[in-house]
Amino acid sequence: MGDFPRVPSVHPGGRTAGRPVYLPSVKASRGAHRSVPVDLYLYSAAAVSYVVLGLYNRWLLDWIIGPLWLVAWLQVVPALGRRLLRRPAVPPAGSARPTGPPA
Amino acid sequence: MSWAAHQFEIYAVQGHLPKRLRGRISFFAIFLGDFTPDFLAKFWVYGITINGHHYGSSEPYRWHRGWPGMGFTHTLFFGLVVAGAIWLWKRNAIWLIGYVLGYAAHVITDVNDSIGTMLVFPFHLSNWSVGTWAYAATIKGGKYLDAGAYYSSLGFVMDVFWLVVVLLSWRVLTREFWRTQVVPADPRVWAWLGRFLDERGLLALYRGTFFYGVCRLVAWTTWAHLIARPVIAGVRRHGYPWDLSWGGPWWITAVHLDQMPPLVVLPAAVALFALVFWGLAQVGNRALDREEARTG
Repeated sequence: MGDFPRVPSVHPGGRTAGRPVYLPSVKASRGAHRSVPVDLYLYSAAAVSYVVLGLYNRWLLDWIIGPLWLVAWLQVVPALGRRLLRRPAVPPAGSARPTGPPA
Repeated sequence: MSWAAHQFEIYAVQGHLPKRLRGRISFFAIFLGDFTPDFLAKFWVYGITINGHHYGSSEPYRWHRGWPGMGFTHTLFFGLVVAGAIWLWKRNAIWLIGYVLGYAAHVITDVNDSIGTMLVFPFHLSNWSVGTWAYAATIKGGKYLDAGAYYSSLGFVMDVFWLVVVLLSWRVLTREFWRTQVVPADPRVWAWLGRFLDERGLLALYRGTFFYGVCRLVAWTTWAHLIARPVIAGVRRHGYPWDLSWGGPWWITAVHLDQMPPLVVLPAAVALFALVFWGLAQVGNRALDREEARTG
């Protein structure tokens, strides 16, 4: 699965109380080993942005929008970050980009 | 009414389940139980205004907590009726226990405002209130006056109290707790959600209501005391005045319904919650005994 290893699964009907159980059929977060500080930044950013925007747009302070706001920050922002970081701003040397006829 | 307290108490209940029921009680059931009373009753309390015409209750407090009105939604009796319907549908005692626990937490927290709840409905129609802070939902003031009053009174302290309860049992918010005690109780639901979100997103979903509670507490308190410019007793003020006295804030008239004496209410409410908790623990133990007998 490359960067997206699946965590061990458990049968949904299994008897699971009292021992560690792993989420069934769910993708582990990419870069889980370094995710704690990253997550801390993401949670903090989500909270600050939500409170500041909510102060002046109080319709945002809603029981549906609130939790979804957090999920969006934790799910969408890392995905956007990965996409942006993977796209090089300058084409690497030797790329097939056309440069015109040789002089 | 209570604000962020209802978001925090879900995690407080989840973190203090009887030992044998840990990892078995559905987080979603607790959430739905805690959420149901206001979902059914609150939309008409503030109402909506369209083209200058207000649609909503003419007496918000009576609609919200009284009888006749939607006050029955804030009673243990109605919580048990809904749980009974769930039982007939799903035959799942464990789900029922989570639902009633969440429901009971909501109903009993709400005895703190000046209206309270009909704790022993339908056997007695009096409202049970401790009168810790003034119920402040009015037609004219709407949600903003309600927020200003709540976050200037002991309602603010109640929110902070529940926040502290959750923070003292902080493990309930950890990834390990979620994996070992929350997911096993609802593996199918989490597995289905896992088709759309990775683990980080699922954990955020689990923590989302807590996040919303914290942000709601901070945002509305900040708004009430730093941004709002209310006119109180004919004077425009910078923020709503704090009043942490019993039954406050002083600048709003607390409304009441026919009530039991407050000195009876607090011990009765605590005893009732303890009874519900104990009774549900017994139901859960029996359900687990049956399951173990069946599976050998």
